Amino acid sequence: MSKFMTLELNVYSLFASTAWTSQGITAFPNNFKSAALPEEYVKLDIIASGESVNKISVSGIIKLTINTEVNKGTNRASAIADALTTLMAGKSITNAGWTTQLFNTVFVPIGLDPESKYFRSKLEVQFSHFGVF
Amino acid sequence: MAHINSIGAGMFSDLAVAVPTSAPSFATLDTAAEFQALFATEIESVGGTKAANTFVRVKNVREFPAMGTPPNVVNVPTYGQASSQQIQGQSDAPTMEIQINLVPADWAKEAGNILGNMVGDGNQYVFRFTLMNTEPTGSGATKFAATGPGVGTVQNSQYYWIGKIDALQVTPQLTDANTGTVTITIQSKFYGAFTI
Repeated sequence: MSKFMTLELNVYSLFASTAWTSQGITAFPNNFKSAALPEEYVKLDIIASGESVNKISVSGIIKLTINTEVNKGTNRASAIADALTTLMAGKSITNAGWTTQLFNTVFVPIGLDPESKYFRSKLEVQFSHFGVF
Repeated sequence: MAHINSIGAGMFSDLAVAVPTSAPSFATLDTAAEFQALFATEIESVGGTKAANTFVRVKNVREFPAMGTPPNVVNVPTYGQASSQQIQGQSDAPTMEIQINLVPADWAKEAGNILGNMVGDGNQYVFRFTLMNTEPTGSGATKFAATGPGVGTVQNSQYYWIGKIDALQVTPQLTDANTGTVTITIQSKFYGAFTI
């Protein structure tokens, strides 16, 4: 498999683990929309636009958009950010010879999404993704 | 597990010191099994009780130096040739200065503080540096042990040497964490890389 597909595979595998599914929070990749959106959910974007040490490595940011109910403060968003941090920060995932290392997380509450009924926050996780020649 | 077989950041790398009840026979230590046996049970540096095969970890490390013996290349002039030759001479022991984010309580020279009392005590100890890209999945006193259920739960490469902790210098900071420089003098060659 290739660089970007294995990157997706490694990151998505975290969301398939019981450590995440037991939280009961829905997570969608980008370009996917459920017919009936739940009260809260997380949308996942992998932005592989950072530096690399060679042509089979790349770094970047995983951007997680946390959507929670409006008029409920930021506490629930912080709780989901904590759950995502526990799931992702400092983790190393290897599949098919490709390793993705996840580093620290940054959490930014943004505000009401004008196009939906959600309060939107952003969690960013830096990553490096490596293959071996 | 095995040695690390991929490129990656060694962000879970670890430095530990063996603190057995009685010092091992340093002159005969040279195999992976002999070194790894000394790192079986982790104890706390503050308040821990030394026993056979116990070790303490140097926590809050900020920066590691290069691990291993540096080369000492000597130029040898030779008459009748346009350029000199090079040979490998006797290597100088490397400078081993570990920079830590200082937690003063961890390094106080008080009764019951193992690392604090190790500084400048003149005794030899066995040190272990473990290169790890992933956090070991074990728990408790064996999480960082040199055993299968310890660091063997993830890919690891271990380096061992005998040395002394000779100095701790504190650098106060105004806008960053206070730091300390732990100077370790080396009394043996580097052994490894081993894995388990």
